[in-house]
Amino acid sequence: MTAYLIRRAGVALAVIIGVVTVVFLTLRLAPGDPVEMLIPADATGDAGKALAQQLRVQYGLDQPLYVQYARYLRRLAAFDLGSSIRTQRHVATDLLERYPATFELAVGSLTVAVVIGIPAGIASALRPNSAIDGTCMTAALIGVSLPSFWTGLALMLLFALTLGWLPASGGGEWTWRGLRYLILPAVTLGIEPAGILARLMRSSMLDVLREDYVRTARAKGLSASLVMYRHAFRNALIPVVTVIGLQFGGLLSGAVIVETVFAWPGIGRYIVFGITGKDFPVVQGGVLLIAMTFVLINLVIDAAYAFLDPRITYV
Amino acid sequence: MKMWSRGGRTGWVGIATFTAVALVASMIASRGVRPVVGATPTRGGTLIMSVKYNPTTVDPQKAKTITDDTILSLMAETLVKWEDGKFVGVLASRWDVSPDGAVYTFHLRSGAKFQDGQPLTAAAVAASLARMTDPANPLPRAANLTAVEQVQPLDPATVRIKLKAPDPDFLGELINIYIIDAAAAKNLGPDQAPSGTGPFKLAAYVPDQQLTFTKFAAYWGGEPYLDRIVVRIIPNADTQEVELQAGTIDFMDYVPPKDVTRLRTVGARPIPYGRVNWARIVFNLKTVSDVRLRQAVCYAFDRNAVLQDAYYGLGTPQYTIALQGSWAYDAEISPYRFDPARARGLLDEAGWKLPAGGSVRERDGKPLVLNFPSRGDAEWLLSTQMIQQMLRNVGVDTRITTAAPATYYNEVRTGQYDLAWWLSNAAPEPPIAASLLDSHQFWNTMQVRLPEVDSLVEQAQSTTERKARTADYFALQKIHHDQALECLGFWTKQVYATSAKVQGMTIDPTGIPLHPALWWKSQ
Repeated sequence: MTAYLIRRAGVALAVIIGVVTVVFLTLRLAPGDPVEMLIPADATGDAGKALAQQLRVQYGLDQPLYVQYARYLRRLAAFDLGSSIRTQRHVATDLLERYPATFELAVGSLTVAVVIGIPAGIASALRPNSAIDGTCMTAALIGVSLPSFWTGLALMLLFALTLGWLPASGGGEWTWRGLRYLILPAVTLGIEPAGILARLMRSSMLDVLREDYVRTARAKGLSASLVMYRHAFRNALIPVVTVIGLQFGGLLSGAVIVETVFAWPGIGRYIVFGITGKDFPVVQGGVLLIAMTFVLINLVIDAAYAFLDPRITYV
Repeated sequence: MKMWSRGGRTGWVGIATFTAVALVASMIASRGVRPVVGATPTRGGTLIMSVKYNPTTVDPQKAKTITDDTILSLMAETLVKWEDGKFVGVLASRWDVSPDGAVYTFHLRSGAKFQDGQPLTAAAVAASLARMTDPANPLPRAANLTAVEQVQPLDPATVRIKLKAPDPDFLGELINIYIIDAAAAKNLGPDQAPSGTGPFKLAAYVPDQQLTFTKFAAYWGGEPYLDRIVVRIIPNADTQEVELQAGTIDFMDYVPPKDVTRLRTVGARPIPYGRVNWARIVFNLKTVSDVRLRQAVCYAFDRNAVLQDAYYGLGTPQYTIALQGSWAYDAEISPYRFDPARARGLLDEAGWKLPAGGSVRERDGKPLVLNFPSRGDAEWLLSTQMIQQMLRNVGVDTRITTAAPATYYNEVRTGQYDLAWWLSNAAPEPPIAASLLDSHQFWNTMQVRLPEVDSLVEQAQSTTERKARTADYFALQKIHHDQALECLGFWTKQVYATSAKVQGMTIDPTGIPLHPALWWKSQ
């Protein structure tokens, strides 16, 4: 297992370097000038050009591409993600400030997805073609189909404006009071993965319930709940765990639309704002964080397989 | 029908869902906010403002955007500002201008002090301006002060600013140059604000979330009515509107034009302000070099339709580059008005003919297709699409490409376009959109140097003599019109909104809320 983990770490490093290299090159080769947006509208040619040049020198953008890349890798090795061109704040500081809010929203929405989706899928699988099955699968389809922008605003109008039960926007605090702010964005973001998980859980359970070993377990006289939870559920969970992991990775990358609608201070809109403003250090730092997150989550998922399925071992 | 069949189950679920949605919609539609009427200012309370963008800085001298100004003007002030159509003193109680227009002497307001307790003096003003223009680290708006040769304190309450050359519009350069206590502003971190003289001081800043300001009781204009102002960052306009309706915020910036009327019906108070930008079609004069083609575009362009349909009427049609009725306005100019027949005639004259059965004009076998980039956001893209259709009606084809703002601005500035829908900030003075026609301007888009135009712009800006300036601007308007350098659209207005409880707030033409010390909330 140790050798396996070492190999995976090496692969992870190569993946991360590949990702940051592609993003680095894409940003610099794409049209647009990141410093232009900082030149005042009424800047005369000389003053405007001087300010633009000063900013390019300050951010190393006047250097050849290979020099910029080498400097970037050197700074990365020292865990320096640079400063935002727009605000001059350290990108690492910005990301660290915002990541807890993104993590909180990811955990909240995944909890919603799992709590709704998995029981719904199991209930559907245990009673296929019944009213429960129809209701759960229709609800899942609706959940997957609804755009989060619409869902968020609808929930906001109902619970914040009409009923006044919950705040419309804000949040990101890790406090009991902060949980009130989490409810609407978490439900908004969790509805779609809940639908996906419900459908996946249902089909996976149906497959497993048809297996010979399940029939044998029933024939041996084991109770329905024992057959379900010890034999069927654990095996049916394997593909679901993969999807949960991928969804969690996606959620940890930030949910731009939900963060924007609910003014949730996560990394999603921070990175998108960096993209539209061509703020290179922000985009590079944000992508690096996302790449590392996905790599780590994949590692955790693979380890979870070994736990769920004793047949799986890593060497 | 068997209700319990698979199709029946789905049908009942659908009916139940529809009924629930309809019930919710009716509950929402019936809710509104009743306006509250108050007359006597009451002290105390917290005003909650919301803006769409995080400020780029909390240092007023490093401000770059209108959002920065909206927020940081709570805590810092300028020597002068533009209000009610004229310059009024803020930290300067009055000023004198030398006959040649090259020396400005400002007499500072007595009793004004910084929030750290230091008095506002001429030396402090000089130090503050020097901080902005430090050659080792010039701040973004140092470009506003390139005309300054020397800043000299004459006595504790008088500061003289000598310019390199006469500049009749120098006061306009100062309206967003904030005075701070530079002596105490060394080595500030990115989240630390220097002391200003404004009625509120920054107490806390959580990036991407909110800024909290507390009142500065010793403010020279009198203790503010409000105890606190909280500025929340809410990036989505729909969310801001929900919060405004719910009463959980008191102010929102940039109301989308489509929502202005609706907000009135729910008891909010939209505050339109202008003249913010001027919107027009700009040309790459290198590639669209035929004046008849440019004139044809101007005749094909229905500015009123774009103003009404894309901007919901929030603006004033613009027929020359000068503000109608102002001293710079030439009433003799006969503007380009919507006339597709005349557009077609000009195109025929220029040799662009419609082929048999075709809808796009050609010349020497080459179709008339123009590159027409746009920003991707609502009004901008809609305007571009409307203009595309107008040009199609006269046989001119265009290719629209959309890009994020930063990329789009670069494309136009570096000439990667033929024509574009373009908005620029309108300075309060002079009342003419002339400066960007000067090819030396960083944001000049024409790609071609026009020495006569450059000369007229520079001449008009180098003398204080009104008659000479008027003559120069009249000549400039004639060239602009005859050469169809741009197709003028309209001066835009924008709208902020407050709850009915907010009293005392006005907005200057550039979008900065004025007199925060006088804001209060009725019960």
